Amino acid sequence: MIGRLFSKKQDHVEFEQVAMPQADALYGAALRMTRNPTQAEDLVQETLMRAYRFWHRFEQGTNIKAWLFRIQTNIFINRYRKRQTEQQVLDDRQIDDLLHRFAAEESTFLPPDTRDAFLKRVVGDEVMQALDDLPFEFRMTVLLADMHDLSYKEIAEVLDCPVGTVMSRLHRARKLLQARLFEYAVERGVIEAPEGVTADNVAELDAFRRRKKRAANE
Amino acid sequence: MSRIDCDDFKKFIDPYLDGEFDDRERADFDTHLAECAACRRHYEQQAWFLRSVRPALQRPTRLPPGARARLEASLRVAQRPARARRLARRLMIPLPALAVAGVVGLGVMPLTGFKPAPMVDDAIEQHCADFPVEFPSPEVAEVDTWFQDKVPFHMQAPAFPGDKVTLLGGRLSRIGGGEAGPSTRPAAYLMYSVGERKMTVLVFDGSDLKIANGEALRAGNKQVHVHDANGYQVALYQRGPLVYAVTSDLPQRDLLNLIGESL
Repeated sequence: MIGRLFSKKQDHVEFEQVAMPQADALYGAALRMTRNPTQAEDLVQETLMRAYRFWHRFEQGTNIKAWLFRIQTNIFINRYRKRQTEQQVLDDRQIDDLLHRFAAEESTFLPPDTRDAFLKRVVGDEVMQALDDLPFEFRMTVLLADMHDLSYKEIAEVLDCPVGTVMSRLHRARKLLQARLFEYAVERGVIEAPEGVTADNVAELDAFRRRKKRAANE
Repeated sequence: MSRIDCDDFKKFIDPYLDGEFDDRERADFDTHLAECAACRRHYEQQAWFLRSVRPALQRPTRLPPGARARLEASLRVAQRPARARRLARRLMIPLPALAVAGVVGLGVMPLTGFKPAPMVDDAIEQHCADFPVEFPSPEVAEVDTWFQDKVPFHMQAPAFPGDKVTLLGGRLSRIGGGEAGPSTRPAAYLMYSVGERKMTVLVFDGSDLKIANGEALRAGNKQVHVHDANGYQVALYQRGPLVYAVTSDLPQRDLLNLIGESL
C-alpha cells in the first residue's frame, strides 16, 4: 500500500488533531444556520474540506473554532443563504412590535417564585425555536457568543464587522430571545401578560407559528 | 462617585456580563452596581436569564455517522495527490493508474485472470474526489458519442426517465487495480445530480467478470449487488458486457428505484 511507503504528512495529522474534533460543533452551528439537516451536513463537509485546503493559513495558537466558523459563515452566505430568502424569520415589523411590548424592564422581570416554573415550562426546545426565529445576523451573534463562548473580538472576525456592532447586535438579540421566551411564558400561564400583550397578540403569534410550521413541513 | 449612570449600565450590561471589560471599566460598573439597587436587580435578572438559557443552547449535537464517514473518505482522497505525485516520480508510473491504486475491498469476482478487484472503494473514492467533467452535457446520446473513440467498449450511459435525475457529463477514468496499478481498466465516469445530491456512475467492460459480493437485490428488472460503505451506497450491476457501478449517498431504497427505472 502506498500509505505505508510514506510517513503521514505532518499537516494531515495536525488537521485531524486540531480541526476534526470541531466537526460536531460545526454541525450544531450549521443546523442553526441552515435549519435543515441535509444542508447542514453538506455545509460542514464543505467547510472542513476548504479548511483542509487552506490549513497552512491557520495560525497556531489562535482560536480554531473562530477560524472554522469564519469559513463556514462565508460558505453559507455565498452559497446557501441565497436559496433561503423564502425562509421565515421575524421581520422588522414583528421585531419592533416584540421589543416595544417587552421594552419596559418590568415586563421581563421574573419574580423569583416564578423562576422554577419558567425553567420547567419554557427553557427547553423553545430556546432553539426562539433562536431559529431570529434574523440571521442576530442568530449568528447569539450562536457564537452563548453557544460557543467566543469573545466579541473573535465574533467580529467571524462576521466581518466591528466589535461595536457585535455588542449592539448581541444586546438586541438577547432582548429578542428573552421577549420571545416571555411570550411562551405568558401563553403557558407562567407569568401574566405585561401591559400591551393582549389575547389578540398571542393569537397572532400562534397564527405565525402555524404558518412557519407549515412552511417547514412543505 | 461612580462615573457611569443607570442608562450606561443598561446599555453596556452585555459586555459587563460577558467579561469583555478591562479592570478599570469593570471597576466603574462594580461601583455603580454597589450603589444602585435598581441596576442590581436588573443585573441579577439578566445574569440569571443567561445562566438558565445557555445550557439549553449548548446541548451537544453530533454530526451523524454517515456524514462523518463521508467527510473522512473525502479527506483521505484530498490527502492523496501529493503522495501519489511523489510516488509517480519515483516509479515512473502514469498518474491515472496511481489515482486508483492502493485501495482495498471486494466487489467483483474474476472469471479469468483478474485479481480480486477493489471496485467498491474505488468507486467511492472517485465519487468523493469531485473530479470535474471533461465533457459536460445533459444528453445521454451526446455523452455516448464523446466516449466512442476513448474507451475500448461500446458505451451506453444509463438514462433516467423523468426530471429527478440530471446528467451533468462525463470524463475518462479507470477502475480497479491492485497494488501495482497496471491491472486497472478503462472506465467511463458519469456524473448526475439528483436534487441537491450527487450520483456518479462508472461504466467499464466486465465481460470477464461476475459480480458476486454485496447484498443481492432486485431493482426493476435488474439484479443489483449493493454495498454500504463509508456512508455511501454503491450498487453494481451488469448489462451485457458492461458493468455499472452507481455511487451515491441517497437512501438505498431511492437508489434502487432510480436504477430500476433506468434504461
